[in-house]
Amino acid sequence: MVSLLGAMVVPIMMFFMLTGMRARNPENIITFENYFKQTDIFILLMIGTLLFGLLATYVFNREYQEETLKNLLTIPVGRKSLIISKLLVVLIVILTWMLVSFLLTLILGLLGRFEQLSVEILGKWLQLYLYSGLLMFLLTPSVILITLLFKNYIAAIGFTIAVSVVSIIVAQSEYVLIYPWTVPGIIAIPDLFVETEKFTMIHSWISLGLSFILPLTAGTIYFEKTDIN
Amino acid sequence: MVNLNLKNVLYHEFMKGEQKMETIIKTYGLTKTYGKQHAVDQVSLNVKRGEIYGFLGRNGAGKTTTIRMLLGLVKPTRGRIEIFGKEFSQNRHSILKKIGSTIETPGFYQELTGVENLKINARLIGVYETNAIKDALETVGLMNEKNKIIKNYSLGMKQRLGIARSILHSPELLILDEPTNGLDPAGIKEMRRLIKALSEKRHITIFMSSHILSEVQQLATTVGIIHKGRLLEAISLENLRMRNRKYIEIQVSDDGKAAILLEKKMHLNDYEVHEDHTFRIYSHLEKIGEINRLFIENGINVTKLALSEDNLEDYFLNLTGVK
Repeated sequence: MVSLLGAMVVPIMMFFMLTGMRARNPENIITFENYFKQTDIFILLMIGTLLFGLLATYVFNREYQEETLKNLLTIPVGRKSLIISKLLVVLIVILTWMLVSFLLTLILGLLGRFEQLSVEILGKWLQLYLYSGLLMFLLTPSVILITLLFKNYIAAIGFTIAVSVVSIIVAQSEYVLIYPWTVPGIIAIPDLFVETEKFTMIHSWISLGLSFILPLTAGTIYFEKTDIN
Repeated sequence: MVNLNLKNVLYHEFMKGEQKMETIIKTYGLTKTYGKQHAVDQVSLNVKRGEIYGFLGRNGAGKTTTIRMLLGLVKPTRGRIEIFGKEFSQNRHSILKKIGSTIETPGFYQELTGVENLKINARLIGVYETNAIKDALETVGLMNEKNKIIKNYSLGMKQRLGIARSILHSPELLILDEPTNGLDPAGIKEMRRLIKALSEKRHITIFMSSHILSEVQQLATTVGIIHKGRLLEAISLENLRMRNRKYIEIQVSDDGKAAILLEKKMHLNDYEVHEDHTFRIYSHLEKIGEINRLFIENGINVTKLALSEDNLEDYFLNLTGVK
C-alpha cells in the first residue's frame, strides 16, 4: 500500500511542480509529452528503486516474518517454484503501479489542461511506462538476494537507499551508462544521455542483464540449499 | 457361504494386521551437525502405521531438528530417511503430499481470517472439495472463530488452526512438533482429545514431539526418547509398563535405623532411599505388611505405605541420567 501511494506521489508532485512553473511564467505551455517524460524519469532515476525494492523485499520477507515459509515448503511448494511465483507477483505489481501512475498522470494532466494530447502520445507513453516498469523489475533480484540472506527488511531497505544515493552521484559521470540503477533510465528514455567512447548502449544492456541473472542465480542456489530453521 | 464370509473376515483382519505392521517412517543413522555440535546424532527411527509415536526429549534434545529433517526443511549431514517405503530425497514431492504437519507455533497471514488462511492452503495443496475446510474447522472446533483475523486468535486457537490446516488433505501421516506448547491446561486437554480422535477416527499415523512426559504417556502408543541428539530408546507403552518395576513405597521417621532393619532382619538389599525419608523396596513385595510391622515394633514411625510402580517420568529420568 505504501509503495502504491509512492507511485501516485510522483505524478502529483510533478503536476504541482509544472503548474507552479506555469503560474510564474504563464507563456510556458505544459505538454503531455513533457509531463509524462518528467514523471517517468523521476520514477526511473529516483523513487522507483526505493519503491520497487520495498515491494520485492516485502513479498519475499513476509514468509519469514509471519513464519509461513515452513508451511509452504511442506505442502509441498518447490523452492524454485516459490521464487518464480513471487517474482511474477513482483512483476505484476510493478506493472500495475506503473499503469496507475500513467492513468493518474493522464487524469491530472486533463484537470490541469495540459496541451498536445493525442492517441499517439498516449500509446507511446503507455508503452514506455510499462517498459520502464519491466526494466526496473530486472533490478529486483539484488534486493531479493539481500532479503534471502538477511531475512529482514532493514538490510534490504538500507541497500536500496544506498544504491539510490549512488545513482545521484553516478548520474553526473560517464558510469551512468553502466551503473545498474541508472541504466533503466537510459534505456527507456535514450535521448536523455549521450553514449561515450568508453561505454555504449550495449554495455548498458549487459550491465542490466548481469544485474538480473547473477543475483537471481545466487539467490535461487542459496535458497535451495539453505536450512529453514 | 459361512466359510466364504469367514475367509473374508480373516483376510481383512490379516490385512489390517499387515497394515498395522507397515513402517511409515524409517531413518538410518540420521545426523545433523552444526560446526562440531551434533544436534541430531545417528537417530534411527521406526514408526509403524497407526501408531501415535511420542518423540520425547528435553528442550534442546534434537526433536525439532529431527522433524525438520523429516519434512525436508533441513538437510541431514548424514543418514537416510524413508517415508511410506520411499527414499525421501528422491520422492519428496509425492511423500509430502501425504503428510500434514505443524512445526512449533504455526505461522499464518496475520491480516487474513482463519478460513482465508485455510483457503490459501487448500488451493496450494490442490484440495477443492467444498466441505474440506468446513470438516477441518469442525474437527478442531473453530467453526465459530473462522471469520476472525489471525491477529485476534489466542495461541490455543492458532495451534488448533494449525492442526486444521494439516488435515485439510486427509493425510496418512501427521507430524506434530510440540502441539501443546504454550497451551493452558484446558487447551492441553482439548489438544489431547483432538489428537486421539484423529488417530482413532481418521486412522492417521501420528508422530508427535513433546518435552511433557505426562502428555506422551497419555497419548502415545510408542515412545522414543531422545537426549542430546541421540535416540536412547524406543519402546511401546505396553512393554514399558511390563518392564517398569513395582515397589513398596514407605516413608519412615528414621531411615538409618530402617535400613539396618531391612538388611539385617529381612535380608533385603534391593532398595533405594530418597531425600524425604522414603524407601523404595523392589523385592519381597508380598511382605509389605511384615516390613511395616518390623518398623513399628522397633520404634520407627511409618507415615506412608503403598505399592507403586515406576512411571514414564522415572524411566525417562533414569535413562537420561538425570536421576
